[in-house]
Amino acid sequence: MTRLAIDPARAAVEMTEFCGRLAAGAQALAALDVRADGCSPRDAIFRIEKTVLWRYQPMAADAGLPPLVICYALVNRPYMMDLQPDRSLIRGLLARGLDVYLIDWGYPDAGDRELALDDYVNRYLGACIDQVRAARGCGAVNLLGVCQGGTMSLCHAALHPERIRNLVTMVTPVDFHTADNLLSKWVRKMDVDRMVEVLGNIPGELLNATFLSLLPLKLSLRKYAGIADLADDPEALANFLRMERWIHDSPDQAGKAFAEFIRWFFQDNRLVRGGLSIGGQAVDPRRIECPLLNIYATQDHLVPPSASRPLAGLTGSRDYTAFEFDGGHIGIYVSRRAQELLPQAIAGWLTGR
Amino acid sequence: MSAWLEAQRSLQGGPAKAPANAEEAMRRGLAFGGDYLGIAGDWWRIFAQGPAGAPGMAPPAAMNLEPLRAHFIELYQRLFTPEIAMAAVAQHPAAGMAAAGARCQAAAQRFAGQVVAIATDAFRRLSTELATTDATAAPITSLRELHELWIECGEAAYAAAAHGDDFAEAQAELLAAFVELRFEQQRLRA
Repeated sequence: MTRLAIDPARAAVEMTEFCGRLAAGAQALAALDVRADGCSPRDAIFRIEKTVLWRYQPMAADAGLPPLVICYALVNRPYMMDLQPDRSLIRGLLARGLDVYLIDWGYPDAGDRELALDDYVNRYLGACIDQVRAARGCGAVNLLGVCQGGTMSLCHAALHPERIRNLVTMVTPVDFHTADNLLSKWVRKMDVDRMVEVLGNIPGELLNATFLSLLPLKLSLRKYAGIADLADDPEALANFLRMERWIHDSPDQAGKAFAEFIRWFFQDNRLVRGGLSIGGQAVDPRRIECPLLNIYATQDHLVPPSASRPLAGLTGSRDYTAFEFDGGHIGIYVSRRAQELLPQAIAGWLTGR
Repeated sequence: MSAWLEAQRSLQGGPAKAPANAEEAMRRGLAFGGDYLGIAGDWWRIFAQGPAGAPGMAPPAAMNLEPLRAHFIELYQRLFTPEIAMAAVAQHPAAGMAAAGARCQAAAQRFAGQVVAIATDAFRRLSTELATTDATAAPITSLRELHELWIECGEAAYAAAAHGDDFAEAQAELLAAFVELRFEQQRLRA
């Protein structure tokens, strides 16, 4: 007995049609000129070395909340938060009257190989937050950390609690040693110090290949076969291409900071186990006493929810809220449901505090 | 695969990025399509014949997947062997380079072994899914549905292996071998 009930004559037609649509889709993609570096009006208000602090122009009446600083990951580019007008968490926040700032770490080059996590967590992030505090005349800001940027934000908040009014973490790894964390299992076997010693900075292409390897068939064969379904939908093709551009726009990673992140978080799990020190100062999550909103995605293949949930109880905050989004690591930025749910969830939570 | 080749290129000191060349992309696409359809054809021939070559569907347990394994071994060893680095080894057969090149080849072979086992397991899972005795299982009526089932079986086989220590160690050793080869290249240039 077999489930196969494919009529050979229909299969031949199906294959011919599929190849035709795939070719047409590929041809249409090659002809598209799609820009991918964010879509909302913004101004660069501060620069420190390669790091740029952007302030987004308001789109609605001021909600009267402290400014919101978004700290994105060092891997990939932060314009994912503002990919296109109908897929932009930032626009959703602006529409609710928030004053939004975004940190762009830039593209490290060979001269940046000695940059350490201390530079990113204390010096760059600290300078950006201080800039916003000074510009707005406020004592503390709301901080939204995304993915690895969430881990860095937790560290910053633990080191400088007086600067943070409310902390939002989004798809943020906290416990790096949970059983379903495939990336962590791989990384724990790697000699990252030797890699950095020889390579200097870590190539973005290596990170790309690693991320795609987590779900190799779904993120390659299925995705690219799907081009056939988009062939006669120019808008869908443009969305597809914009997303592909983002996926493959991976900055190289400053060697020392990369090695420290891998060793301290992925290999030693110090945020949870203790013993983490950045810039010579102990990072104690219990020093974080501000309200915390922890947003994670239930189907996240990169940062499984099991890695984010342990934030509950790790800090000294008595105001902890978890928000589970039914989707994946990318869908949480760009899916239609994310646009409907997340800006309101974040703005609503901040408004109450 | 393209992402993997770019990663190899970046580790082995090749040009920073492959040029955005439509012809090259098409060539790679066709080569990949040829491999993909070739393997699919091999699997179909095995699936559609009985163990003794008689027409009919073989029970998955009785299927001989060795021809598929041979196809995979050739494919994956080609994919995981760093061409740029091996060319450098051939040009500079100094002791350090030769040793690093040999380590790379051994690591590529070890990792390819992991991937071959996964691919073989994926085809076994697919065959089992198709030969199910569950009368409520939905029939597969199009090639696209068959491809979807293959993707699910492939990811399941991959996840089963990729979470294991053997896979992580083979992958880490491949990366370490690339890094040591790069180190030898740097020493030659110094």
